[in-house]
Amino acid sequence: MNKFKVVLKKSFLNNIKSPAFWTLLVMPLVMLLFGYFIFQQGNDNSQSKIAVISSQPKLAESFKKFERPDILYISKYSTESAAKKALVKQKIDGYLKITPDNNHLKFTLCNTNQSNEINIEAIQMAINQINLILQTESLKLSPLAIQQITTTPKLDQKTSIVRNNHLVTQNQNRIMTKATIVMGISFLLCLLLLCFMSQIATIIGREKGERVMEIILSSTEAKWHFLGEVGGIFLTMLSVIAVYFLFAIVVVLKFHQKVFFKNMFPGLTWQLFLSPEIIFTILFGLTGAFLYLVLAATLGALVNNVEQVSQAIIPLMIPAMISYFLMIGSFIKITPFIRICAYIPLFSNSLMPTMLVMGKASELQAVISYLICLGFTILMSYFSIGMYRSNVLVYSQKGIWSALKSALTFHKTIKVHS
Amino acid sequence: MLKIKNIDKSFGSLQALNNVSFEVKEGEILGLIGQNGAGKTTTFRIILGLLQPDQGMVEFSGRRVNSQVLNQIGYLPEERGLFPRMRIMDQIIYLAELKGQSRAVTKAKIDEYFERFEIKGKKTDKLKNLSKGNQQKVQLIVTLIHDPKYLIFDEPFSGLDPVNAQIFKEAILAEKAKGKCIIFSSHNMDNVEELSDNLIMLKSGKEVLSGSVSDIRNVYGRVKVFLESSLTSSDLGKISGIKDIKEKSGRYELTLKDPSIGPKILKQVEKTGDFLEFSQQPLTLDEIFKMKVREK
Repeated sequence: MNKFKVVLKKSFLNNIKSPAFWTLLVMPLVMLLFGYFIFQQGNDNSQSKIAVISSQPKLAESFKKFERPDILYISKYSTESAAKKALVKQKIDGYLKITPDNNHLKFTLCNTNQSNEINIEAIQMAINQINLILQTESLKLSPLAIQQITTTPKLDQKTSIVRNNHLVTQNQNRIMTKATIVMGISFLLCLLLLCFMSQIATIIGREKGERVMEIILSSTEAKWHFLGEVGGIFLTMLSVIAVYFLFAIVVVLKFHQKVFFKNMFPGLTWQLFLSPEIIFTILFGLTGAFLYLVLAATLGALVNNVEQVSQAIIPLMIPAMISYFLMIGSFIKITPFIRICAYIPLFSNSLMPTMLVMGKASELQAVISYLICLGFTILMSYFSIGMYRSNVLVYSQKGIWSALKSALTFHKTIKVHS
Repeated sequence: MLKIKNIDKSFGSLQALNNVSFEVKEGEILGLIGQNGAGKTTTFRIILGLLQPDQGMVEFSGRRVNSQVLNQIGYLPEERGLFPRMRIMDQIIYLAELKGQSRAVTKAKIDEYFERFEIKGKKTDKLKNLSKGNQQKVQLIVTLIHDPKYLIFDEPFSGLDPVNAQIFKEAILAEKAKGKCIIFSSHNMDNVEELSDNLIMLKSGKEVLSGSVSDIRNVYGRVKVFLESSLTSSDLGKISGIKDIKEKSGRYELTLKDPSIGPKILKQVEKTGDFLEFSQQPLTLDEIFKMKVREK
């Protein structure tokens, strides 16, 4: 056990000292910050300045009531030629000309191809409101009558999910937020897995290629070395996740009052992270990640040198990618194929959480799927240790599949301090 | 004491070891010789517990291989087995930790070992930046730094220049003086003869020679004669019982059918009254090795 700790520590420290680790850790955060910066820049420039020109100054002034963060109404230009000059000099993004047309008013918006994008709908709404006020004044309607006319019936949506044969009412906002979080976690884990699978296979393949395994295995049992290396990379992955999680907390604390954040995560509360859907997503994600890492390490032990690792790892990359694409598809439609895959290890880790959050699977089904995944992970770990033990000192010139065959043959004859 | 008892090992239809037994006492060096594929590395791997024998057992002072026993073994493999991209001191510390020695103890010893083995390079260098000979010396440090009771050297002199080979020999002899059990393999019979107290020769997994170096050499008697005299090769050819005559710069190397032929040759030489050298010796280990390899 002490030697397991020695290998674990060495593997973990070597990984976190590597430039690849820091690139993986920092790059997504830098890209997110960069994206936010661009978004922020876009927001700063998106306020359109619209001059309102009317022969009635009061009418032009009345638009001020309808100003929004994206539209600023200016009434200081009294003539169209003054507004045109301002438009040419890009002091304004456009002007709204109001002219009488029989008993009505005619509104014309003029802008240029160099103007900021103008929210036409917002201007139309302002015009509607002003027009309504003018019309009700001319008809001498009471405020109550105006309210009755203008009030429209509201459509509310309540979505329930079927859980243990009962309808459980869920807030649509909460469902959307949970789904976004589940998708985010699954995407992050998939991205990290693809990186760390290659890394563990490369570490094992390189150690084998450098003929250092004989020295290591003359010092410690194969199982402790195998579990130490896999554990070290798993800890590295958890470190990345922990940093991302802290970053997410900072983001939530800083931006939870912002409109764009509320639009993206409506109904977000801290309690949401303790919901079964999120807990299952984390459990499935971590167990699935460990399973993939164990299998990647086993494949890494099949090669003769580090150059063969990328070829050896392909059989594992395929289910990882398929699993990810099925997860994306499951947000659109849950097919019978996806339902079956949600119980198959290597796929279930990303599919079952999605089905759970979409209300297409019950918690009992998720527990069953998780137990299958956990059992398979334990079984494969045991099998992989045996494979590793019998294969890590065998060098086959006939390719990876031949090495796998040899490993299975020699599984009974080769034993490293088991 | 290290005991190997009746070890059998097969890989499929290939019998790699067949009833191999030997023992190495404290302060003894055993030389393991044999052609490539004779079973030397398989023997080492079984001793290290990397392979499980089909039959037989390995005992370290009465104990089977386990984690504690592994801590007392130092192993130098035939092919260099270190991390090229890792700093030298980091890998020495790591590999010693795997042998149960603390970081602090290893750190305190590193400088002394660097000096003793005259390594050209800094302990903070990456291994790949050292020459092959110096890398081999780092491997020797890794083998010895945790002060193991049992030492296994697989072809330790392979690829070393004479100066470095001498450093290795001195290191092995120093460990012997400390009472360690040492096994080593080599294709260089001069080294085997110089270092070994006992030797085992394996051929196709079977022991074909076993015993002390002097006993093995004397099994065949003193059948070599080195002669420098006025006798010519035609004179020597007339003496019966000489199997082979080789001549180099007037010096003859004769192989006898029987050691008793030696005195007869000496009489002939004495009759001439003019000779510089007459020496009757046993076969060299190299000759015995080649002879055994050719035997069917």
